[in-house]
Amino acid sequence: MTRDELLVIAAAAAAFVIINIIMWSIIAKKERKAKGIAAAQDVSAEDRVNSVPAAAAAEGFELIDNIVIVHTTDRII
Amino acid sequence: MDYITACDTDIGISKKINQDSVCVKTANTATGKAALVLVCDGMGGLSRGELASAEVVRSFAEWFDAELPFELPDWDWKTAARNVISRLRRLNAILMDYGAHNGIQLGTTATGLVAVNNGFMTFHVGDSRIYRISDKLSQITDDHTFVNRAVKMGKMTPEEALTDPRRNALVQCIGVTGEVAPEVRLGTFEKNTNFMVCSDGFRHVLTEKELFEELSPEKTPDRSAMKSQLRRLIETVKSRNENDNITAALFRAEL
Repeated sequence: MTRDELLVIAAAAAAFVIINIIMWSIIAKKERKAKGIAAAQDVSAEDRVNSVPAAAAAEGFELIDNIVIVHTTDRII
Repeated sequence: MDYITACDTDIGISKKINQDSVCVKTANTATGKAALVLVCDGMGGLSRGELASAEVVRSFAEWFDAELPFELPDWDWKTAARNVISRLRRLNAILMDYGAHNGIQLGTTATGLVAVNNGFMTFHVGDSRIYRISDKLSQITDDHTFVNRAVKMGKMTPEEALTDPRRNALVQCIGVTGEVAPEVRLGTFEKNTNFMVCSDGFRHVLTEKELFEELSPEKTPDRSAMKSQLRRLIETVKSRNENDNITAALFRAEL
């Protein structure tokens, strides 16, 4: 095997390794993103709010029952 | 006059997360009494159903705390109905936009009751239900399901609808369908009448007779009894192997 042939094989191997690294880092990034969404789904935080002082802003407005039960702490709004 | 209310929710026997959200609020105000009872059932087959139901419940809860007190002096039911419909449509657009940006689909039912003194308004999107329970039990919301629509159009019998594989498919809910047409009804409270709002997981395996017998005004004279009767039925539902999350709220205006 000549020196040139060895260089071509080395270059091809290097290109193969680089392409693999790029490909697997893209896959890993996508998996992390997907896991982020899935992990948030597993959060089961039951949030029971029993007092909201904002309601007291209006004169004569007094909360008697005040139960809000949700199962995530994430917010969109 | 007084308002009595209670609610309960349970993850059920097989789901990993409770996607239902519930809210009960009552208040004494300068112009009388006010209440909000709301059950939202996040879509089991969709991603982040619990987020969708939580956002709708939070939105209405914040409205009750921060906006309703200032609307009460000039309270008008027709304006209130328009505002509720606008809020539900706005929430629908927000959830759809969030889903589109995150490459997911999230949705929820929204079924509730707003009470001011001796008047009330029910609002409804999806297949959660409101029942009126007095000397009889009557369902006062219409299921927004494919099979219910087919039955109404005469394309399916009620018996076929019970076993049709599409029986859980919704024709509208908050966050999934481009347009929502909320069902809104106005009414006046009558003596000895309970209102029960529930997710489909609560009612699937209970008969109307059981709902009537266990949640009648006579069986639920106070808040504590309401709470214990709801829990009792939830345990019954679980013992009958219901797979869904289970949520219900009970409300009565004591005239």
